Amino acid sequence: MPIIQKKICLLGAFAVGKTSLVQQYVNSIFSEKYLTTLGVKIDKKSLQIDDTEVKLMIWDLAGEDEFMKIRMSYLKGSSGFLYVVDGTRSETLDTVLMLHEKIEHEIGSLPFILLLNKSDLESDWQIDMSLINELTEKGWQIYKTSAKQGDYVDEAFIQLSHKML
Amino acid sequence: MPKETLTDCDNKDVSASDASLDALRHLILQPEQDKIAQLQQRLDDTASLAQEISHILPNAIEQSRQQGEQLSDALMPTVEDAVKASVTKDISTFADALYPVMGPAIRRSIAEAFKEMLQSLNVTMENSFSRQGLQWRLESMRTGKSFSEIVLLRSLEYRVEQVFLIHRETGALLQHIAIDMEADSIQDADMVSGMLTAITDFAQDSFDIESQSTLDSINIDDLTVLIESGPQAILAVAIRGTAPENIREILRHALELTHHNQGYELVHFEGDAAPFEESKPYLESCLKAQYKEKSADSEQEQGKEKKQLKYLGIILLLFSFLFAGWSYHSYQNRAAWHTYIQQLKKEPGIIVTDVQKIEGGFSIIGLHDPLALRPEALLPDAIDITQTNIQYQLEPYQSLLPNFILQRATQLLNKPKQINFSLNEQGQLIAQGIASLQWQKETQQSIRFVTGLTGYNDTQVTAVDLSTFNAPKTVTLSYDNKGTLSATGTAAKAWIDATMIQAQAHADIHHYDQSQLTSAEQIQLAQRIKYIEALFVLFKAGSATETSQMLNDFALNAIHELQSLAQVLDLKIIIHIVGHTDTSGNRRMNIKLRQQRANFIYQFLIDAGINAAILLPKGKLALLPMTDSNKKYHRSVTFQIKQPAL
Repeated sequence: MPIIQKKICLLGAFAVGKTSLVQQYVNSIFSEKYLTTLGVKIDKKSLQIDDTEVKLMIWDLAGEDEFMKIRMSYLKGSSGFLYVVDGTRSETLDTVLMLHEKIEHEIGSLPFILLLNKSDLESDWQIDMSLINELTEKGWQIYKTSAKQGDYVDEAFIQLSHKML
Repeated sequence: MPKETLTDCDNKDVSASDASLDALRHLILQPEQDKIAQLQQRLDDTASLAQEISHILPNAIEQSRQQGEQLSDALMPTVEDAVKASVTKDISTFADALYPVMGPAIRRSIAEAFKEMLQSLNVTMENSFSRQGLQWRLESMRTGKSFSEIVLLRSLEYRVEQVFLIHRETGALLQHIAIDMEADSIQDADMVSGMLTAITDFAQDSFDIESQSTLDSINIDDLTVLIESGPQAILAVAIRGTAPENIREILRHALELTHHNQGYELVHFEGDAAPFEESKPYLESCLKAQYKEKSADSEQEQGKEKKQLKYLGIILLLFSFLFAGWSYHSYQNRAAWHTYIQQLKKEPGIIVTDVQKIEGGFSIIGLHDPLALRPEALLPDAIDITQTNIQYQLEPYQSLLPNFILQRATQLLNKPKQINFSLNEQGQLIAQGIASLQWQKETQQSIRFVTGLTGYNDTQVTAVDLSTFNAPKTVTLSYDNKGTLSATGTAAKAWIDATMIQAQAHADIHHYDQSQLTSAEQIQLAQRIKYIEALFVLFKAGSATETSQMLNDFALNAIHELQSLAQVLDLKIIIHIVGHTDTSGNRRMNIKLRQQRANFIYQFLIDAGINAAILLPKGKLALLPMTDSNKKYHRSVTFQIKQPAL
């Protein structure tokens, strides 16, 4: 079976649950401290898509906020992105939109998926759903995920893999 | 200048110029034109050209080799294809060509492998017992690594342990090799590769380094990660120890080869690392290792250490002998103790409940029947009682084993020698043999004090040993255990008399019943008397000395026996010798004749040895009624035996 390696980056604002989201789905040998020191932690997840084994090298990047900016050099060579938004914090969607714009500008158009995380707290969501609908209409693929319950996490990885191949 | 251009120009000029100019041009340019023509001919003639190139090619190749390995790299794919084609076409050609080199190559490879193994083994052996070796052993225990691993690490100058070929842009791992792919220290190479890329990116970003420059090396303890960057790929190697400067050359060369041969794949990398399997040989060339050379000083030092170790070895050997001796002695002692305790446990009448170790020895706790062997008697020679403190805490008890019950009964009942004790299945004591009535009585009283008995049977015990009377077969003796001895049958008077005395003397014979006992001599006496009284000595008519039937030897012997029996029986007997005559003739003469005949036999018997005191001759009339048939018996002598005492 052929093996294809793909680098994907997990992006989003600070504390949206990126690390928690993938924690139970990946092989990991590095500790969380790399995120605060290097700003990135690399995990691996293997999936089988049709007759191909896709080895996803997941670059979990430290969340972007006013104190820390994402190192764009970490994004080079990526084949796709997973944007993560905290449904209970509307500003995290703004961060993702800004990041997406920056990436489109500096790196180019690459496959991506938007994850609206913390779906287990959907009643507390503050994000503007009309904006989400607009994004959907623009062709964005969006999943409501829950790191706590594990909802749609695998599906998101599989979908992104399909888009990258 | 191209020839076509010159010719065109010349044609144009011919039409416009005069012949002199043409001649001048011919004069000036003809030699060059000839040379060009010659060159053209040489170029067109491939055979000639090949011959010329063959002259310069070896020199050109040699010069190219001296300049670098570009020619080798350029030729490699062609040569490889040629070899593949040759092997595919006919394998025997290649096999024949390789045959002479295969053997030596294999031998050399094996020799190299042995050399490396021996070198490693030598280092291990040399360091096993040295001071340094001991330090390394401690380090091995401290770090949890094996001793051989520590020896290898400390005796290595350097060793390239892992090689990563990483795609520069994506950080994807293209190829990874390690000296031991199964080693615990080998982490997931994909993630390590990604992280190395991230770290180099981080370093570049953080210190604003030029994009083509990159992190050079990472040092952690005795591990160095050397990073060699190419335009499309990064080569990272993990080196244990101090790497020499030229290792970078090796890395660079391997990376260059990879770029050279797989440049297209690197540029168009889409995540498939399979094509980079081809780069493996280049990466393997990076797996270098070098052992530390021994300096003269260190050899001298080692020599000194070896000498010290020699003495240390001798001391250790002596200690080992002493320890072995002590261990053997200790083992023997323990084995002897074990055997002794087992023997004690098996010994009847001893119960070992516990053995406790006390200072300098052991304490044995349990029970002991006083009738059993003393435990000290079972001590084997191997246990030195002068060196071992043995304490016995044995409480007395009475064993119910049959032997012990019998021993106890023997002691308690004061068993006579002629009594045998045995136990039946019901636990009853069976006594057999001879014992006094007194003992029998006492035993019946004290039998209940013997532990372990369910009853007592003494029906086979008698107070009198009848065999001591030596009774003849004709006599039956019996004793009734109430003090009466009875004798029935016939016996010699001597035995009867002796038995009487013996019975009277026996303490347990209170009454001797011999009413049914007859003396054999009395019977014989009666028989002799009867025989002798039937005898007749016949005389001729009118004669007192001439006999017609005298006493024969048998009759004479009977009289002797009678005399003897009377003596034995202490009986006073008188043999009356009675003379007879018939009635014819003179009565007076007949009386005289009767007396004479009696006297004649009287004298005869005296002459024959019969005691005269028991003989009494006398004349008597015929006893029988006179008839013709018994008339001759009237002239006779007969015998009558009187027992005055009876």
